[in-house]
Amino acid sequence: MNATDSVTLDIVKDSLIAIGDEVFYAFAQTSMSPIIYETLDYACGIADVKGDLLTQGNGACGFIGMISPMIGEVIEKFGKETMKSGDVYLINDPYMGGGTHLSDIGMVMPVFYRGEIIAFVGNKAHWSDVGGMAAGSFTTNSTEVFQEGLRFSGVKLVDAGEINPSLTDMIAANVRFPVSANGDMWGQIASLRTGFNRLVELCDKYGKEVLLKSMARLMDQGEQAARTRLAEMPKGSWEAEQFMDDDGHGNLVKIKVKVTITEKNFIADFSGSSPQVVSPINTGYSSLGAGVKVAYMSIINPGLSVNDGVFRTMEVIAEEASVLKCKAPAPTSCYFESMLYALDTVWKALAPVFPEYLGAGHMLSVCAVILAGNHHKSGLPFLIVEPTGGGWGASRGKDGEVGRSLALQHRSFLGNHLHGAEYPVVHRKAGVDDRHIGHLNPRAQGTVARVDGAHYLGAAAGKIGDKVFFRDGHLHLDLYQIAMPVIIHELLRFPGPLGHLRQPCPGGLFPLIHEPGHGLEEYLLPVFVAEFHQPVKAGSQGGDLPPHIAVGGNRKADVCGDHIREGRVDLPGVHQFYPGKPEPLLEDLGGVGGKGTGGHAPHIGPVGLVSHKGDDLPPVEHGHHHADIRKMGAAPHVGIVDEVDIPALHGFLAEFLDDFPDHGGYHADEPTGAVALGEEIPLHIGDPAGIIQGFIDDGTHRCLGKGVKHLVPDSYQ
Amino acid sequence: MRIATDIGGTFTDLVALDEQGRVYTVKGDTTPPNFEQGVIEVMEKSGINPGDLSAFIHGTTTIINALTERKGAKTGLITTRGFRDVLEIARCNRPDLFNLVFAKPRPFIPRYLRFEVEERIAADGEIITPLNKAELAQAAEGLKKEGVEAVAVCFINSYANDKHEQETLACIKEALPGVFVTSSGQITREWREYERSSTVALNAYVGPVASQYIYKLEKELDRIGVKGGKFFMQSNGGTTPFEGARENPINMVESGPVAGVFGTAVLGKAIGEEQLIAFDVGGTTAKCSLIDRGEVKITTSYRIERTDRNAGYPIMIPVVDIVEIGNGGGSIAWIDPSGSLKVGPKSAGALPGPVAYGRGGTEPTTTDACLIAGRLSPANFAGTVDIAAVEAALVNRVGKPLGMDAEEAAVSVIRVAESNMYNALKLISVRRGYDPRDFTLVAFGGGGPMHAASLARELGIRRVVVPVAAAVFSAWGMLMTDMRHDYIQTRIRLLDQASPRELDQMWDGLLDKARKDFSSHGVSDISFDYYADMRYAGQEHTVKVRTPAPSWDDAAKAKIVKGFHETHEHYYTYRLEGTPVEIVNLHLAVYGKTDKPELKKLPRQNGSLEKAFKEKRRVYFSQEGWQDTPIYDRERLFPGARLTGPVLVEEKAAAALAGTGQTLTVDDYGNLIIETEVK
Repeated sequence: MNATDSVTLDIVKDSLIAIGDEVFYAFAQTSMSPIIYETLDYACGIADVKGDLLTQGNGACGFIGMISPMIGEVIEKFGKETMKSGDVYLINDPYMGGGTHLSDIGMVMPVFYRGEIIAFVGNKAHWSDVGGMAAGSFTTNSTEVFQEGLRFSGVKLVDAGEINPSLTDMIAANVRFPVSANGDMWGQIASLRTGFNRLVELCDKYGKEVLLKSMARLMDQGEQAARTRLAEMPKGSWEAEQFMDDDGHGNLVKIKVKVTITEKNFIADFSGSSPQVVSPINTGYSSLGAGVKVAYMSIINPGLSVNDGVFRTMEVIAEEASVLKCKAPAPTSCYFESMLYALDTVWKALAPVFPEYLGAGHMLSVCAVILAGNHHKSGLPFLIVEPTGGGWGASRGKDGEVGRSLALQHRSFLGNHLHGAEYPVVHRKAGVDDRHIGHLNPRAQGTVARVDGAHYLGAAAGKIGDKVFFRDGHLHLDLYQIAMPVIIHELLRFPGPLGHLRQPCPGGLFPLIHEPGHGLEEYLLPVFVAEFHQPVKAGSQGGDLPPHIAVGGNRKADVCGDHIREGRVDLPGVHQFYPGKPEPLLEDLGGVGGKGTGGHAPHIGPVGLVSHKGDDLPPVEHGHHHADIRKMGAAPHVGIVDEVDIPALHGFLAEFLDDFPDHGGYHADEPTGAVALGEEIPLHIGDPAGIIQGFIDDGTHRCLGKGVKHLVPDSYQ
Repeated sequence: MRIATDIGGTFTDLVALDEQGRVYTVKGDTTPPNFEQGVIEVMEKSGINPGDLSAFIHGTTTIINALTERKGAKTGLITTRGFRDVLEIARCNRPDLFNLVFAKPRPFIPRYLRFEVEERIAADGEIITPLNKAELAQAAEGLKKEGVEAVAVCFINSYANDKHEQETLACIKEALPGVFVTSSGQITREWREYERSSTVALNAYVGPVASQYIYKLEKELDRIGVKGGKFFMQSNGGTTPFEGARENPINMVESGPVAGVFGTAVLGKAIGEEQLIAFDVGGTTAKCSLIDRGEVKITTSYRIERTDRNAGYPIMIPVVDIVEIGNGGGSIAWIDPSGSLKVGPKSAGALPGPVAYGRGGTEPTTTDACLIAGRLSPANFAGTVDIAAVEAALVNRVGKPLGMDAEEAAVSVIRVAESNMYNALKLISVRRGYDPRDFTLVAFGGGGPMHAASLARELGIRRVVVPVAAAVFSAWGMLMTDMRHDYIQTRIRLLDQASPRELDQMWDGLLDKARKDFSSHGVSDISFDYYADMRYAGQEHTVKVRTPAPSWDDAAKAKIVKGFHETHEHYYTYRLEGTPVEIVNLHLAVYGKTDKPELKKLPRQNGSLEKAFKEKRRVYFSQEGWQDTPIYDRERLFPGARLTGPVLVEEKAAAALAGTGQTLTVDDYGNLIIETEVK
């Protein structure tokens, strides 16, 4: 091959990638399901004649590499020799290659050129409904796959260009929204046909040989890029494990990984993870692989165009019939939750090794919302299936982010107009949760919203979803997951009967976000929340220890890199929390912890002080004076607010303290009135009276009361 | 005399058209930050008497620059209680899929400047919660205290009813005199709160900059005695008077490139072509746009700073549908980590520019490759070109890694660049259901004519037109524009169920507003085009269908539905007969006619080709390779002149190639017509 030929191959290669994109967008444009056209919950790919992925459109990266095993499965089952030009195969079996949950319908089409198969095109898309026990087809309480909808273990949908009417009739009769299913089916077929035609055109233009060579080159370049990068990486093994909150029946689910990087390979071994469970959070092997691929791509080169060449260097091991490689008839409709945990556990294991690519974790759930019912005006049934955005942690040199899709997805937020205009759902609020400033709440308040009094999102709506911070069986506060701003949705009204109202995923988002206030860092910062105790003089009112709360920004958080490097910090002091610049938060707040140096870091905003429940927040206009810092140190609650908000703060405290409908108020387990210390014992800067007690959450008190081991400051135990 | 001035990144172009249809061009430097100076300079350089002008039309990059360089005003937002974070949350897009440390684009308005006010309007326009005036006053106070220079107002569902926005607008104007205030309903009546919020936020952000610019320009124009109407070029391919530009400057965000597309449509009309592809290759990008049956396509899903790795920011205004790729003359050639040759999207810009400019550029660009490939002559460049330096750059950055000499490297760069352009041209044609073989390619910009003939041959396009003054054709397009405003109103209705009265009322509302707006600018000669954005019930994306004028009887409805099925099938390969059809938006395009000279035919002459012949040199052609090629001077060619490829025609700042077997003729208007000899 001479040098000019290689340019031709590159040109054909670029054309292949362009075709991958075209096929992808062609589908979004024609789909009838919001989950496809709005949240892009689908993938399209082109594979070579062996079924290895060449290029994939920019959709759900959780589907990455699912296209090729799916194609492989079809080749295996039918054999290339039986295939005809114009055939399309349907497959959605969770336990087979490319399997996720039944809702994701896969289609495969062989591409013929002059009577010979030269490639495959495949796509996989989330249909809003595929039948089963509940609208939306994914449930939190299924116990077998048979409850979850139609299952196709590879069937021929289109035979030499002719659709199989028996099959489409069967689909139409078994799904709740046959029109949109039919539309999506045709959209998928059309997108495959587009890919077919474009590949044929490419053959016409450059010749089959050049196309095939170019495919091989694409794959080899992918492999080479991965190998080069692997060679530079640190070698060794890193382990991590964590527990999914709950399997729906009160059991913790363990996810464990050992990641080994050698000169030539990247191996993720999940042996030791829990056996499959009787709730729909099991994952098939393909999805597990796809989750690992996301983590792998992120450290290999996130900018690389993705193909199976890259993954020739990757190996995934899991035990049969485990939660990450489940067998029939394990239910899988919420498979993405364990898949995400698998991805996250790899992420966690490698974060200390690759701090430049892996920051603190992220929302760690799809947070899917399913609402179904009859439209109050038209009377017609409607269905909303919608993943929601959430927060991402900070990473080296960068703040965390609000309002982002999870690591498996591209896009996830349906607009309020859409809801208001098309569905009988009205958002009352779509915002970053700032109600719970300073409150590190394990119960995912951040996602709570109400529909006519019922909880809509968040922990309260599902069994799965409790104890978000209570991982590891030790109920630790996992710093790895801290600083997660979330989006809050509130629904104003939801007329008509509520068909289904579920939150099938851990509601575990992280409620912490506040902007630093005016004149400072101009951008919204995710915040850390520190709670600490002051010793109480005997005989002072209350007798129990009131929590104090401080809020600060984790700006430019090299911080995160550090605490991740430690992997997990148990009972961290605030200083561990802020090991680098900027100055430790509590020092910023005036040295309440006894280390006082005075002076605020510039990212700390105006501060309001509270004494009693129900008090206004008297603003500290310029929180840089020593006097103010003292006040802050002494105040039982310190809230950071916009200066502009201060005049309107009357309602603030009420929310601050009371708006936790879940467990009856923030101070539920504490003697009331224990919060007035600030006025009695004025602290001075450097005064040893205040001791940093590390982080606790409000669960501490409750757990203590119940004799449960919990994250508790030393002095308190 | 009509005059158009177009400010680009490097040059400020002036094109003038006199009553006889003669075209004059002047090129001057762009003069940041006082861009109006550059305009005045080209005006003076042209020698045209400002008092003779009947219209002054202006395109500017001021708006897009203020956005991309983040040099706009300190801007606040007032929105419905509960929604201050809409700008922050956006669509949660994360297009950089595998980058787990991806940074989301930051909102133009920071959170502390986003104020909430109690009010609520339902999706159908009904007022659920009245506007809380006390809260509004508080918000105004807060904004004042912050010292904002601009305020954007965007309430949820204001597309259906913008009463509260109007009230807020009035209140803020009174409370904050001198501050630029704008509301989403003023700009668009289409739904989607994030897109609306983003649009109005950006409009406010550029408002003060634009106002100041318009003020200064107008003052300067008055000073030199410019008479006649003064207009800005807008992104929808039409113009607006200076006054209109002041209110919604965001409409000028894409003013330059769209003029070329509009010019293509006008030129097409003159030469009897209705199916056209405009192909514009400038310094940093190549742009293409398709014109179907003489009609420029408009979309409202425009975004700035969108790449395949970045979500960018939506601006929901009518913008000519252009596909733009980072492949212009200045695009840099490089080898990616996997060893493949890439061209662009990074550009050497004007400074340092291509190596051939001799301004310190060291990275080889498409322009450098074209020089080595003989497509450009060293004489095309200002100053002496250091050929050795150009060759060295090509060899070092491209040749060595791939095992090529300078010529092979140059050829490879051109091939990759043309492949990118080819894909872009397919994107606007084949991928939108059009067969390029039905189209004529109009090539302009400095680079368009150089690549057009071979690309056309690959795409099966039979004819290429290189217009007069190809390098400044966009500015020429401006001369040909009318005033235009698009009124788009979202109202989702099943066509079957919509009562004719309701639809008529909606149209009447739009028509009334249009008449009022245009008459306030003193324009009464107006015409209308009617469109509906439609879809199958349950679908999301709409297709734009041209509709008859209201009122719609059953026959009209049937015609609309038929048109919709056809258009849908055209774009998406299938139709769903029997599925209910929905209207999402009504779209009224309004044109205020202005007097424009007809394009005049030039007299036929019996010129001499020898006089136009400059030299013969080796030139690389994409399909046939290196050819000994005669070079002609376009200035000396004449209507009726006919040349056979391989041939190269040079003009000021552009060069047109016709390959072996292709013929190049000069038509009666002076355009170069290349017949590509496609079967």
